[in-house]
Amino acid sequence: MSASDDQIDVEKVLAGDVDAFEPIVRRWHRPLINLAYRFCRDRGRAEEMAQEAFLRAYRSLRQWRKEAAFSTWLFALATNVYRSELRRIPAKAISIDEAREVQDTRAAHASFEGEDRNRAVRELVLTLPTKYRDVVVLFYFHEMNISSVANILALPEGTIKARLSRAREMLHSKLPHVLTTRTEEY
Amino acid sequence: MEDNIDRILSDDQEVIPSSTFVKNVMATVRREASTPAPVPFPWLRVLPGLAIVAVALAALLTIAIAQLQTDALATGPTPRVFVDLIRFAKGIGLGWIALAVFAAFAPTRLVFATRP
Repeated sequence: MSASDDQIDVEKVLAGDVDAFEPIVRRWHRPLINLAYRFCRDRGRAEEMAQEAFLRAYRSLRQWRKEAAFSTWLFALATNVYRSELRRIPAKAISIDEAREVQDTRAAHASFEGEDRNRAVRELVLTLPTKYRDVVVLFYFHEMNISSVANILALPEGTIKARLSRAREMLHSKLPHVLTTRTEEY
Repeated sequence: MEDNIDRILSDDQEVIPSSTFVKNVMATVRREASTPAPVPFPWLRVLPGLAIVAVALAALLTIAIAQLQTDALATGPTPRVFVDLIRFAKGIGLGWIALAVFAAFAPTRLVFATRP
């Protein structure tokens, strides 16, 4: 996938060729669905949110200013759609207290490992205040690239770093045993 | 000490989209494209008429104030407060102030009214 492919297809769509939007959807549907999934941890809902994001993108293609990469613009738009959707209907995630209970019980039985633990940590991200949640979700989705997250959220890189650091502290405080005592395994 | 958070959150599973996703999105987009855009309210045509009405109202108000003042002075037993009020309104040009206020706020209202 190349940036010029996106630009050519966008120009075709803007010239009235609706079918030219299909290659755009094909190129970007996997990342958009996966990003949505990280915001809601629900496959069905992730597809619905991604579909809404594509529809909004189609409606606002003229607003893409070509100084930013199409992907940055698309991810920023999708992130806004997902955040709005989650404000309307919050994601079903375990609460912080539930997570702590789960952790306490399972750690006590020394069986809180593998996928169970990972799932609990990922769902715990959704319980963070939204400004921290968004940064964490985007940062790990974009292979830990601060610059990409800053562009998508239109925030300075320093703010992203500070929020990320605070979010990590919060996660550590919620599941201290899980996130700090088993590091020798890796 | 490596942080487990990085490892756990980076190794998140990848969701495989359903086979009909692209088809569904394109069906929605085509439906959107075939829907005619809503006809915008013809503000450009209405504006001259609104401006004329506003000027006429301001002129009418000014004339009415002047007339009331004349009548009040001629008939005599009009309450003093009323006469003072009319004089004050005429003195500050209330009609023209009303027109200026209308001209200042009408464009703002038009912007809000035309937003999708």
